[in-house]
Amino acid sequence: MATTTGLVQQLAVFSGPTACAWIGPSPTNTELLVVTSTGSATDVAFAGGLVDMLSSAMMHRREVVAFHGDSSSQITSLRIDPA
Amino acid sequence: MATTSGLVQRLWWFSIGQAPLACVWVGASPSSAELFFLQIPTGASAADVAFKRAMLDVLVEAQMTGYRVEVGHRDDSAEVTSVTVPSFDICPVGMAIHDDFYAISGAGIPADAEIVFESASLVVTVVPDLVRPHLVLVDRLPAAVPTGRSSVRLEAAGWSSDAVPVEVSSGPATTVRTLYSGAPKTRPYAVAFVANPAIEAETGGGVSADPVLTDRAGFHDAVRYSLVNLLTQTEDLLRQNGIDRHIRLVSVFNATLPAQTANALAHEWPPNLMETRRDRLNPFLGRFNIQADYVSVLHASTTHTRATAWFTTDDATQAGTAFTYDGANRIHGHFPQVPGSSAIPISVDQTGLTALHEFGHAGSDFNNGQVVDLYVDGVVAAFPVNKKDRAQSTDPIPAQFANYNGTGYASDQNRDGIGYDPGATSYHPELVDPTRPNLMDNYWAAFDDPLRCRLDRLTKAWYSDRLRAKIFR
Repeated sequence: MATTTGLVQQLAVFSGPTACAWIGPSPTNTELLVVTSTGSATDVAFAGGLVDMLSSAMMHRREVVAFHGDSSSQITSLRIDPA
Repeated sequence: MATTSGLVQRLWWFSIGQAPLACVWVGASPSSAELFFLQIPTGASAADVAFKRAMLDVLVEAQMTGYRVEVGHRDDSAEVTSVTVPSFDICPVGMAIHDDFYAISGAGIPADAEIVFESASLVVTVVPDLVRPHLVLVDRLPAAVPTGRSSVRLEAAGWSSDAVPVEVSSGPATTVRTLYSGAPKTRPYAVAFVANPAIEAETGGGVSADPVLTDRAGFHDAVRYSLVNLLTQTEDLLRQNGIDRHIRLVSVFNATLPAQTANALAHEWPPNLMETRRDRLNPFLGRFNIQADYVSVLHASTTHTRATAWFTTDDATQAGTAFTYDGANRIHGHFPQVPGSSAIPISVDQTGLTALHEFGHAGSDFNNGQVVDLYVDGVVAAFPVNKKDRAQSTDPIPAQFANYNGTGYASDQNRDGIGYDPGATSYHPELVDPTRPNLMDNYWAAFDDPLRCRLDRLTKAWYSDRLRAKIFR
């Protein structure tokens, strides 16, 4: 399990349904991670929650810790720590 | 496919029959906006519903915070197919709070950059305490910056960044503050600055509250001094080739922690030194989800004010980068088992290189290379990188000090102009700057400015490799 920690520098939500989040310390130093879901209603709700968190974190300048597979860019969980 | 950029001027969420619909106006101003819509049709898949709802949430958040959006739509349609919140060319790190640290990251930031806050009624310029090409930092955001909605940008002669919407508040300051998040990967090389909660007495194990917890301004100032010392002095160990843009920086100030053993990160050492309790660092930082390679424990003792450091213990079970020293095989371990650490008083004399000197010790390793003090004669460490002994003080200093990775490094025959003490048996490697003392020696003896002292050539090469091995793990 890998983690990418940083600020959400850019966020794009598509009606694919897919969301792309560029996470890193600065706009030119980021890792591209994705949120997708075509599964159960629960899975879909989970993915929607991830996008909500990413968008809120981005626009309130909060750092996120995104969990994903070692060789995958799909976000499996997201944490925002106390300030 | 077309894209329309602008601010979200107005949002209207309602229902037509069973089908929710959002109308959103996007443009530069309320009177100059284009109308788009997001519809959730009857029978839409759960995935489509969720992501359209997510797009709406992004639009709401953007409207609340003043962020610009890019709405994707077909050339002949006003139906929203994507919502993007684009990046700016700078990135404020964390919330803008009076008297708290405030950092902004970016790239190619000029050395004379200043931070400009602009609200409807006021423009306030703040001169940063630290400027690096990837980061500017203020140790305490001044109260002159008005609270409420502002935009923040960086400005320098002939240069200006994007303006980013921010919300400025009067407090409270944060407990854990990320100053810079570091390389976007698992476990970037990390430096933590910690306000020490409790001090363990010289003997007996008694613990008392560290006064630093009542002096937040002093703590912030010490962090500022430390970063300026580490990243901007003549010795460029931690910033050569811009490696500092990969280093994570965090600060911990928790005034609520009780004076108990687990929180006593500093221990008094006779007669007037302070050391870290290195075995308590990982458990302490773990409470805040922090893993550090180097921990600077900042305290406010008035009796034990001499700074000290403990070396790192590299994790021998994890990967490393091999090197040879005088023909012996050794390893630069990529990860720490126990982080390197230093105990520095917030009253530290800021005209000197204390912070960088102590990092010089702390960043080295107990088992595979200790960088030691050069103002002390004699060798006690198992493997010091930067000091050797002769059998007698009258023995000549060898021309070659050591061989590192196949390259020979000369000895310093003169001890940086200070001269070796009569009777001393130790000798050191050749200096980068032979006119000033070694950073690890008595830098106060510099003829002009202690801040201009450098390392020796061997230690610089060894340490550069060690830091690269860790930073790019």
